[in-house]
This record gives sequence, structure tokens and C-alpha cells, in this order.
Amino acid sequence: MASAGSGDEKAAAAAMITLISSDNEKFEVTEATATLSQTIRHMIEDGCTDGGVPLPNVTSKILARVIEYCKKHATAAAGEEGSSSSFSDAAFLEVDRAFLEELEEFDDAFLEVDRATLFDLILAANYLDIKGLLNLTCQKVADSVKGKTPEQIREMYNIVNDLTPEEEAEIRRETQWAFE
Amino acid sequence: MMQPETTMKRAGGPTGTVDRLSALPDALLHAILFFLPSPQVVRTCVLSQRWRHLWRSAPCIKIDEQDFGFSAGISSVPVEERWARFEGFATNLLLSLDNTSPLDEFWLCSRVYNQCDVDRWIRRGIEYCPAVLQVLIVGRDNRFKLPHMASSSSHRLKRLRLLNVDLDGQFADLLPACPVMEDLELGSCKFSGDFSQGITSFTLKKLALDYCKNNTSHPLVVTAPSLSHLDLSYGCYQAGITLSKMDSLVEAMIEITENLTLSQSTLRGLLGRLFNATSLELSGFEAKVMLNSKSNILPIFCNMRTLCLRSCFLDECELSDKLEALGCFLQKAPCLEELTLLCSMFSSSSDSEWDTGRKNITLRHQERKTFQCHKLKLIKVVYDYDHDHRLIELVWSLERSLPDVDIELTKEEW
Repeated sequence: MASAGSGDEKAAAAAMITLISSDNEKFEVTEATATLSQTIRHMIEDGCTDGGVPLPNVTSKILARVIEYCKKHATAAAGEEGSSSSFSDAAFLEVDRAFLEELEEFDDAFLEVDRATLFDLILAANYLDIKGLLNLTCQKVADSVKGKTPEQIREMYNIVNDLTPEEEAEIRRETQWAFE
Repeated sequence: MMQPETTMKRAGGPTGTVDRLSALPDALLHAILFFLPSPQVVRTCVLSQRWRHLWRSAPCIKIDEQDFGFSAGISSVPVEERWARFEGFATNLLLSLDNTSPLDEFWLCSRVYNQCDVDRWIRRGIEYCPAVLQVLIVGRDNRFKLPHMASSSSHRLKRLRLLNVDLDGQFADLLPACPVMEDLELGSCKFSGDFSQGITSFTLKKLALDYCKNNTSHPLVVTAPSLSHLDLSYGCYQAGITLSKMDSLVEAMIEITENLTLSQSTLRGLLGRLFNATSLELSGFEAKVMLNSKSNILPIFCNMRTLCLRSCFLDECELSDKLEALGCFLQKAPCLEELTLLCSMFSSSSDSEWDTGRKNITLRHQERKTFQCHKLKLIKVVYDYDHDHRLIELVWSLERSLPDVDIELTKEEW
């Protein structure tokens, strides 16, 4: 690991992991950041991360964003562990409250992406098994269609209605109880 | 991780734009639908062929009266009509699910406008063998009882959350029939029946009892040797509550108020059972619980690293007595590293009679007992308002009683 230490100074002593995107770009991250991904966590546990972790399903553009998310949330997780108790008194204190707010702001800003990127993030979060990121991105999609009619949803997401009018009428009859 | 499934490759729309949403595997579409109200989840069936049957295999089913105009302020639609729509939806939904695979979660939030309907939904939901079951009854009369649950449908149940439910004999039989139960949360529930009630589970890891009532004439007995987290808040346990076999306890939180009818000896007994915990948070405890001469019956809390006292020791006695009580407790915690006093030791309101005449105080260099708590390094004092030099007196006294400890002060803004 030639470039170990080039990252976060604080974690210079910590183990570094190299992630390799589908377009062969290398990303040096701390183990704490990388293990937010259950997929990578398992690889580390199995001792197969020497020489870097190839991620053929994730482009460098998306991987950079995913790492940005993991870095932020790994700090949050570390803060939680270090605090006096995992019970509510932590959330009670001014400092922690401010930090949670900051994290929420980060998440909101993080989700300010175009739709294609959002879908890429969902797929990456699923592949890397990062639960928080998966929930965050899925919720974003859900929020965008909440309260919308089927017609509006089709238009928003370019969904082609391949049901014949007869089929659609039949489905609506069958599920009339959900349309009332 | 969700397994990617083979999905229909979909061509782009007429404008050449791609339908990325429909191209997601089922598991991810379900992950998205999870965040939508159930009626809308069902309505996705008319989007296209891809979506036609997707809702039937949703791993999480949420039946929520709020989707039908209940609890959302004033509604112009009469309640019978709203209920009829809700009933029609819930019943049809539960009948239309693809029942080839068990549910991850069944979630019901409803008032008991018609007991038969609610019973039927729960019975039907349980038949899908959910891993998580949440039954949140709206209303406070605690008269709703869980319908019988066949042991064949509780074999996957890992988490159970009940709100406003009357737990009678039925419940006592339920837990032993759940071989993988880990997480039990009971809110505003009532233990009833004329027999000893208990929570017995050898797999249970987390238990939260919030505002529960024990209406039997026997103490509520909790037997959970694998329990690592205990959260006991408020409630009414006139006949007492007994914790037995708490060998695996890591974190415990006990929150009491004046309304919590527990005798001091019951409280001490309760506290004594938490001796394995590494982290303890106590709310609303009075100094006399620990000050009493019998306090030496408290065992050694040999694992405790952090202790948080929230709104504790606010009873009307001298600070020196409170410190004595605190000291008694600290000496039972040889590994304690951090103590948080959150709005504790003195009341933030200064209107009580005994509290007057403290405009001028003298911090006397009197003999003050020092406490042995070798590992204690930090005391965090969080206060909201310093009345009549109470804070200064507290910090000064703490410093004298525990000379090797750092004290951190935080003013809490509400």
C-alpha cells in the first residue's frame, strides 16, 4: 500500500483499503469508511482485500459519491461509539443534536443529484450492501412519487404502459378497493 | 444483501429515454415501495405489466388507518364511511397477497372501531409468518386483546411491538412459542388476568416496557437470560416487577416518575438486578432509594463503565445527603469511568419552600467524605438553570468528594 497515509491524517495509522472502480480508478479509504459496506466488510473478514478490492459494478463517478457518504457516516458511527452511552442521553446533549442535524443536512445535500445518478447510487448501495445509503436513496424515489397518480408516475419515470386498455380496465376492477 | 433478480430488459420509451425505475430488480422496487402508503403501493399495479403483480409480493405490509382519513384532523366523511373504506382495503389487501413466501413485517395501526375486523386482519397477517409484527392500537382504553396466534405462525417472529393492548393469558402463552424472538416492545399495554404474569424468553435480547400496567395481583416476572438491553419507563406496577436472570445485560435504562407506583424496596431490588450492565441510565430516582441504610444490599456493579442520572435526586433533602447517596452507589461501581448528572441533584425550579433564603451561601470547608471510585475520570454535569448557587455548590462539593475527577459543565438549552 504505497499511498497509505495519503488520506485522512487522523486515520493515517488505521488500516487502509484500496477500492477499484469499474473504470480502474483507485480509491484509498480507511477501513472504518469501507466497512460501512457489508460486502467489503465480509471481504476484509475473509482477508481478501490485498491488492485492492475490484468493484466491477461501480463507476468511479458513483464510487466517489458513495465514499463521500461512507466517510461522513463512518465519522458519525465513530462518534456514537465513543460517546458515554448509546442511550438517549447522547442524543439529548446539545453537541450530539447539532451533529445529527448536520448529518441530516449532509444527507439532503447528498441527494441533490439527477435521476440517473440516483438510480446508480441505489444499485451501488445494493451491491455494496450499505443499508443507510440504500434506505436514503430509495426513500428519495418514493418521496418523488408519493401522492402522484399512475399517469404522473409513468410520465416522471418514462414508464411505458404496455397494458392493453382491456387489461388495464380489468386490473382496475380487481383492485377497485385501492382506488376508492 | 438483496439478491439481484433476473428482470425483464426493458427498451427505452418512445422518446428514447430509459425507464430506469422499472428496470430495478423486484427487491429494490420493494425497498422503494416500502416508503409509500399501502393504497398507493397497490395502485402501482396499473403502471405497466412489470408492475402488475409486484405489490402482491411486498415483503412488508402496512395497514394504517391514517391512510383513510383517521387521526388526520377533522374529516367531513363520517366515521362509518371511513371505516368501511379502510376495512375494504385491509381485507382485500390481505386476501390478495402472494402467500408463497413469508412476510418480513406486518404492521397494523388502527383504532378498534370494529373488533371483529381488527381481529381478522391480525389473524390473517400472522398467517404470513412475519419476522416483525407491530400492532399499534389507537386509543387508550387497553381493552383490545390479541387474537390467538398459532405456534406454527410464530416460528419466525423476531420482533414484536404492541401498543395499547390488553395482555392476558394469551400473551403469556405467546412468548414461549416464539423460538427466535429477540426484540419485544410493549407500550401502554396492560397485563391482566388473575394469575402471575411474566415475560419469559430465552432468546430475547431487547426489552422495552413503556407506560405499561400490571393489573394482576402478582408481580410481573421478567425472565430473560439473553437480554442485553432493558428499557423500563414509567408505568404502574402496584404488585411489583421482578427481574430474574439478567446475566447478559449490557445496557439498562430505568425511568420512573412519582406516578410510577413502585416501593423503594422494589426499586432497590430492581436496581440490584442490573449489576451486570456496562451502561446504566436512571431517571427520576430519589436519593432516599440509595441512601436508606439498606442500600448496602446493592450488589457490586462490576461491569458498569457509564452511569447517567437524569432528573435524579431531586427530593427534598440536603445536598450532603444526596452526595452521600451518590457516593454509596459509586462505591459499588469499581469500573465506572464516566458519570453524567443530567438535570440532577437540584431542581431547576426554585419555588419550593425549603429552597428559600439562599441568596447568600457559604461553601464551608467542612469535613467531607471522599468517595472511592478509582476509575472514574469524568463527571458531566448538564443543567438547565442554576438557581440560588445550587450548581456552584454541587460542583464544589463534587470536586471535594472526588478530587481526581474532571468535571465538564454543559448548559442545556431547551
